[in-house]
Amino acid sequence: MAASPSGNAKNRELSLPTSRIRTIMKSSPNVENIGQDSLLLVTKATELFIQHLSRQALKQVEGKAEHIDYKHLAEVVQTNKKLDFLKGKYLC
Amino acid sequence: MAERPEDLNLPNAAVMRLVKEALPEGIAVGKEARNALAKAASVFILYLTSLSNNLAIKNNRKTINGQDVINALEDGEFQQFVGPLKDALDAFKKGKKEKKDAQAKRKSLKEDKRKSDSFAEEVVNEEDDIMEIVEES
Repeated sequence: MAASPSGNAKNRELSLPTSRIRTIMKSSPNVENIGQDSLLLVTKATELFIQHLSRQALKQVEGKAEHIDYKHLAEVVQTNKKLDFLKGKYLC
Repeated sequence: MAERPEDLNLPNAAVMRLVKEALPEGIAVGKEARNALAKAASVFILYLTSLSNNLAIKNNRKTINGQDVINALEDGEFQQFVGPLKDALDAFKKGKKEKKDAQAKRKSLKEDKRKSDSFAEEVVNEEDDIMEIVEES
């Protein structure tokens, strides 16, 4: 997706492939149709989520190390209620 | 159609690019952490989809729309995403409109060219007719 002079270029570009995200969404039970707007929003939300999770993990190491490990992510999941949906789903 | 396992995962490179953008330079991310982040993203998609779909169904719709996703994020306590998402949606729609306008413009230019080309052809044919008349006389 080409950047355009008007508007925030970052807002127009997506880092994640929408086709893959669509596949994942369709694998969810009972999903029938996915509107184009919703595909865009889920893609963008996922990008924001990845960055949010990364920054939360960073807080776990700040001042102590310069290396984010699995345990830091595990700690973030344990201590954030809104991340309950991730509990028990980790695979590494 | 059965999905292969890799189809339900996001490309690692794309995930890592996002991770790097969020972190200051010099912070390394271990292999297990990288995998966990990618996996978490996939689970998030399923979670968000499920919440959004439930809202669509509640409203007797079979299509998940943008508002379903926004409401689902608020329900899931991800309100902080809503602002940037609305901006992204606006920018996307604007880009779409610009593309549509550009296409329409190209189409009308093409039409104009076609008209002027066929006009030029008529002129050439008329000239041929005139030449014949001149030669005969």
